[in-house]
Amino acid sequence: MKSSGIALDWTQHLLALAVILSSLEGIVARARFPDQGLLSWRVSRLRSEQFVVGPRARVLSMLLDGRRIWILLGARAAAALCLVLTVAPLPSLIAAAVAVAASLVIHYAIPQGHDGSDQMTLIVLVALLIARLSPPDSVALTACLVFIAGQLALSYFASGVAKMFGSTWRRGTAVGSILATRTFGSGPVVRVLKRVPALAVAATYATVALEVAFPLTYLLPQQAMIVALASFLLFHLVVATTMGLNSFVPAFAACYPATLWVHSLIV
Amino acid sequence: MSAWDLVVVFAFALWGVAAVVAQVRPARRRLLRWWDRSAVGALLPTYTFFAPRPATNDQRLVVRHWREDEPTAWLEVIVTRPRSWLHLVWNPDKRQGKALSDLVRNIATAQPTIDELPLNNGYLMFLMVADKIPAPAGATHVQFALLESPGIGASTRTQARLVSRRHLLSANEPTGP
Repeated sequence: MKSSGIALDWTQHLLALAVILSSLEGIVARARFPDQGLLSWRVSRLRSEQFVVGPRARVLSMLLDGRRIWILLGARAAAALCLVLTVAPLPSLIAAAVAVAASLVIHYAIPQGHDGSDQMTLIVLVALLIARLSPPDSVALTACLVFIAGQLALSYFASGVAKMFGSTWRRGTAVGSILATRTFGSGPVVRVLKRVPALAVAATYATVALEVAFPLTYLLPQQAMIVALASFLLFHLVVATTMGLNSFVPAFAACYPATLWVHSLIV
Repeated sequence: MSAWDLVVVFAFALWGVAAVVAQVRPARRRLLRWWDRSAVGALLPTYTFFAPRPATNDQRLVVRHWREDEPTAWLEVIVTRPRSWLHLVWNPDKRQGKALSDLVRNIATAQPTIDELPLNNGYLMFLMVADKIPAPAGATHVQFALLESPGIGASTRTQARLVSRRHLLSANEPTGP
């Protein structure tokens, strides 16, 4: 990655795809159920008095009541589309601000139903917003990219270490057990793993090893770093295909340009 | 270095340290509980991704109606659909599915008493979904249950984690004067 500006532009494009996907899936997921099913704001707000009465409740209701959530999700998708189409500073800044505000409202008001990709998307969106507020080639812009790269390294490393504390991960049975569920698995994959049980064991240990070893990729030469990131992208694609966790692909890939750029500063 | 640069570097340094602290559960509980309750709580996630104990069971929501004292058969509310190649790029079902597992976990974490249970937010959410299922003619009440079923090939059986009370269908609730 030659310059911080190019790294930021690529981050923006990839992140925008993650936001569009999350917004459109959020709309369709809600459309399947009356009153939006398990993602209902009408019920979710009852968890605390502050969401029922007072100024905060009024603001959130204004944004989320009834069909207004469609408008909020639509506005977020439109802002993300703008982030795909242009990297001009002012439109990018406005679009990032809209996407950050809408995402924060949704995460705060309806906390259930979000996964790690939504959290990563939100964090990188905030970093992008601050980067678009910063002058080109400034220290602040560098800090934004370093932070994005750091979040990626932390997410892989922390989840790898957390897995080492789990008995099923240590025994090598975790991936096989997860893929045997209806929620995260599929019949054909289970049949393959039954025929070749070593595959599930290898996948379990490889996942932990890959995640824990991620920070070490900063020691690699440039070409090897590109291969390493391609391997992680492949990992997310396999997870998306077998487990249905598709939104991790653009959300985590959005951190790769910043990672490559930070790596180029080190090596 | 401009003032803006200083502010941004300081903010990201603070956020970065907090992000590391947030990965250690005891430290998070002690130092960041106030943050988790704030409107920006989502900015400090704990990255675990199926760790340390991955979900190896499926959570399922089933509903039945009552006509006087006669229950109908339990019907499952289909939240997620079988895996397909399309899920590589498009899988909206996972969001209601994740909400289902989040709400089940929230009920388990809150450990409400029998009296508190109907006021639990997860319970209310499941009740609302159950109440919206088209009821057979003459049905007056609705009941839901949360089941935990093992993965394919597991030796354990499906177990009920929670069976709700019978609730008057909202269509049958008395209206005000």
